[in-house]
Amino acid sequence: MDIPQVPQTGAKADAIKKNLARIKLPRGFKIGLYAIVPDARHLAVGPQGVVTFVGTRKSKVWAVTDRDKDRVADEVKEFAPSISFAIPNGVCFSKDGFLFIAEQNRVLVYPAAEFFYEGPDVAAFVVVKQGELIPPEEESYNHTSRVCRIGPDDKLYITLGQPFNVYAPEKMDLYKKSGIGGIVRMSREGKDREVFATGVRNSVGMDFNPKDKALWFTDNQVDGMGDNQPPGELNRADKAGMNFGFPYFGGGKTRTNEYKNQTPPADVTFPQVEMDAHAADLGMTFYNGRMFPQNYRGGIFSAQHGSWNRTTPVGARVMFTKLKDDGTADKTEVFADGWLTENGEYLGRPVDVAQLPDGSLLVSDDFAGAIYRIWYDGR
Amino acid sequence: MARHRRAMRLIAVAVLLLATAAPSAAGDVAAGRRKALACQACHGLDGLSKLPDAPHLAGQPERYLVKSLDEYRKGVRKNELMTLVVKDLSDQDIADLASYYSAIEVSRAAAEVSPGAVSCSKWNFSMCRTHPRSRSRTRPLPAAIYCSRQLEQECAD
Repeated sequence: MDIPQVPQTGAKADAIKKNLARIKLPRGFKIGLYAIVPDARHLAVGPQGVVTFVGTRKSKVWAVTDRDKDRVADEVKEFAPSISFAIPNGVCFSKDGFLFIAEQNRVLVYPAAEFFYEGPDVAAFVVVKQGELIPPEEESYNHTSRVCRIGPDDKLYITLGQPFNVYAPEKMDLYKKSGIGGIVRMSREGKDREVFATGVRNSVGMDFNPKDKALWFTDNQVDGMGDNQPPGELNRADKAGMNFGFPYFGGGKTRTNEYKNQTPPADVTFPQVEMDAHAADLGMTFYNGRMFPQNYRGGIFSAQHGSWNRTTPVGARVMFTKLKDDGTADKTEVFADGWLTENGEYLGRPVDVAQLPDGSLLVSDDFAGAIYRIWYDGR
Repeated sequence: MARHRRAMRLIAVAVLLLATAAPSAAGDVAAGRRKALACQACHGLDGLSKLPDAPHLAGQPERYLVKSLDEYRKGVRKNELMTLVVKDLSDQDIADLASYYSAIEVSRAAAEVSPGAVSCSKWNFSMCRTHPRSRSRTRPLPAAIYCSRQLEQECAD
């Protein structure tokens, strides 16, 4: 049984390519259309370099293959069409080729997904049973884009957004215990689950620094406090058990109205980088390639989805954060922008960034339904 | 000739009356489009839903849009996102947004129903017997194999 493919040419591809002509990058970098992928969210580049798996916030996961290695995908098809997914946003690979997919309330693992994806018969194993990632009564659509990573300790890390703008105090005990509004980790078989980080509002991007093994993650901050506060966040967790301040802090050091009269915990860790308010920092990756100039190696690329209700929209960019020798943030700059027109209209909304084996950078966009590739040729 | 001109004038007056009587008179489409920048992330500037739990707004009845926004503003309807965005909207903002989204033209066609969808269990049954990790051709993978409840039953020893 053949799985239908997503057409890669035509009016839509032409329109997206035309929009890409507006994207501004540092000198020597180029951007091109890599693949048309409907609702493209988070990216997992296969360690064999064969397939890139793409999550969505709907019900499909896509498998994207560049068969002729011209650095443009020539095949996009549904992964495991026989499995019904619910918000399969979080996709991540272990180094030995196991694909993990974190859904709204289930985690499955697909051994050797890069080899078995060709047909509809895909073997899958349960890591977290349906209904056991979070208590089912806490399920929502809002803030339910999970992301996952296999850590240097070979454990599975998953971000769990809390479903509200600011949750009510009676939720606090349950959320702390279950890791909602935080990051949880467990063995690759789903055992020994523990809460790794708390005080997070809605993280939709994380990656480990291969140099010092610290976990960095983005966090989306509180709405309804005006256009210019609180800031978005890029955080660093160098050990388990850290508290990142929510709901006492709504982003950076800005206190939330709901908790302003309560004393925050003494051990709150503030972000390494404060990003533009409401820019919606989502996916991120450390850059370990050799294609980009030295300045970018060991730094962080992160995607800003763009604000959802700010009076004047902001974001829809790819940011770059350089680190200091001690592993903390140095400075953040805009790397790619132009998806937001001067009239405030979105032409695209970047979601995630991932590095291809050749050192180029993929950027997913769930508004245009596409994946772009950014490469460096020095010209 | 004179009678013809008088008839034209009457028609013009009638058209004018109709225009002012229509509910869209209160809202300004152009202003609505500008204000819709704060709606586009979920509902699209084209009025087509950008995420699964947000509805299309293109071509929605104007009165329904006004009513919905007003109900969110009053707190009669509640939604984590909508409750936040409507709280500072004025009557004019609501009228403008409603007139913009209702003015978007949509074309419709009934869904086509294609026969012969393949059921999961039928489709995957072969996998249980031929998967390389399976110990023998007849013995299926252990309980971990996963496709659907139906498949699990078929694969069970």
